[in-house]
Amino acid sequence: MLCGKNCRIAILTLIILTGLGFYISRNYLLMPDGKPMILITNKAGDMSGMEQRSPKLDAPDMLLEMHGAPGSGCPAEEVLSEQQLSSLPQQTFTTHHTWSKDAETFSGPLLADVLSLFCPGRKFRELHLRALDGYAIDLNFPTVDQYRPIIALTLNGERMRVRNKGHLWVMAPLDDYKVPARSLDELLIWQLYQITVNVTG
Amino acid sequence: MYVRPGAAAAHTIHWVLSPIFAFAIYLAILNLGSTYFRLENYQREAIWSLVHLNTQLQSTQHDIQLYGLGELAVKSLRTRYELLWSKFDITLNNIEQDAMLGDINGLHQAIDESFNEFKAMENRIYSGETIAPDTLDKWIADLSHSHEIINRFLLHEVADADGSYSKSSWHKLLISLYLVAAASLLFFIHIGYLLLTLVRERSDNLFQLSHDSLTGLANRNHAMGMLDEFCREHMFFTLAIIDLNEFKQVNDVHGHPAGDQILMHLSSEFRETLSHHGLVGRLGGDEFIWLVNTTDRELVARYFQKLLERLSQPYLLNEYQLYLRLSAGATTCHGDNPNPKSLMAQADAAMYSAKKARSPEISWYKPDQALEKNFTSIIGIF
Repeated sequence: MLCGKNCRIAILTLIILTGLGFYISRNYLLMPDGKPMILITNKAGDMSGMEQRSPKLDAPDMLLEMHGAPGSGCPAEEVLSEQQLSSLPQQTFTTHHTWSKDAETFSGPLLADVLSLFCPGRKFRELHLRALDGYAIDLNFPTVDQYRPIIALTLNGERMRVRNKGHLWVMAPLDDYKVPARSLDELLIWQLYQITVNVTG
Repeated sequence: MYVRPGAAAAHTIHWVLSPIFAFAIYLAILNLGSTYFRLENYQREAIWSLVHLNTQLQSTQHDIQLYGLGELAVKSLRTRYELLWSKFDITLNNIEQDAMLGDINGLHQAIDESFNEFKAMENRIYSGETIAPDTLDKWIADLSHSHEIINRFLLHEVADADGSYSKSSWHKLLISLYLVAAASLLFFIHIGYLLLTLVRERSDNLFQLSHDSLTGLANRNHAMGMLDEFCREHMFFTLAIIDLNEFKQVNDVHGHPAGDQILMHLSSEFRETLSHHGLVGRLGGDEFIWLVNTTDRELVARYFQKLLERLSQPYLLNEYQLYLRLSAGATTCHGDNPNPKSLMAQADAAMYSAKKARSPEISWYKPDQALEKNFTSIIGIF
């Protein structure tokens, strides 16, 4: 007899445990998977970017500079006002995130919708985002779009000041996606003022 | 049934326990990896927020100086003020959420105090009035002081391998390591226990294969195998065949269980005497074989005499006193007769002559002795 009763019980237990192991490791012990989704190109504190701010941004209600890189097929520059951003379909969700103990409610248009408003009919590939404190990232848009990030205009129903990470804050409904804690933090750029579309296709 | 004590059987539970312990190791290793990445992430975040707070503190001092020199508009100063505010906020939140950062004595309080000093500047900055140079100097001094304090914490407590942050994070990693070690230990102890059980079972099985189940003496196969081997190796030895007289009557009168009891008693007497000087086996029924590692007949007779002395005491069976009487025949082999068959026939013939003579002593085979015809019944195995 090649495999008796005990042996079969052992094999069955192994199979059950292997399945359980896969389940646990996927859902409870989350590991970074090393996919380069976001590349930090400019660390916060480097203020050289601040001087590049468009003067139009100083006008009242102007919030977001949009740039199209040459060859991207997008307009070279446009500044979006609060009103323009508010007129897009607004997403509202409540989620936990790294910078608060409690869940908070964010509201604003989808990043995808803002990009389409600036550059309609394009598929966006590579973006460059900048924040007031000098933090800047390059990101692969299709990879992050699966998390449906928004450009939040309000936090818990109130407009954000620069001191509480406004005026614009990229946020995703993290609680809806089982991603490792803090793994998307680099995408969630606060004090956002500029987006450059580098590659479309 | 003669079973060696201490025989243990492997139960089904062990077949389930092994995979479970292996699984525990797997989980513990996953947990270790996960903990490592989490801690690494936390430490990076902690350093990140403190470094950026410090950078903003420096940039703010710089901007206040520029403002004092009239080279910076109040609007830019306000933006800088807001940015530094957000960094204080984020750092305090980090300290509250990261227990290891919270464990650093005095860090939260130091940053909180700096933040409060900083908040006090708000009225002046947003008042719309020109800010006096001595106020600006005090701000610069305050911010510079905060910068120094934070730098000290950063260097000595967070980044330093001896700092309390590293110790706390190492402690957490160590707990995960202990879990891996504990799971592995359980697994290996269990595997070791299983191996031990298997080894014991194997030796029990081997024992039962070569021993008679009633008496625990070597069985016929084993004894004959030894005889074969002795012959093949041309060894010097004595072969004796011992027969229990009138055993059949005992069986008839007292029943088979009584017969078994007598055989067991006789075997234990063998073990006490003959077994010390050679191998005793049961050929079947009431016949036994004794292989002795010597050809010295006197010595063999003396060994046998000890057995006879013990058997001179009656054996009590159901209030009957039984005297066990043996007939024994033997032959010696000087390495020149490698034929076990004929050796058996010789010993058997000698045993029959002892039986005929009703002698309790060992009867030795004489070359001129006629080999009895019925010896084949005993050595039927050949």
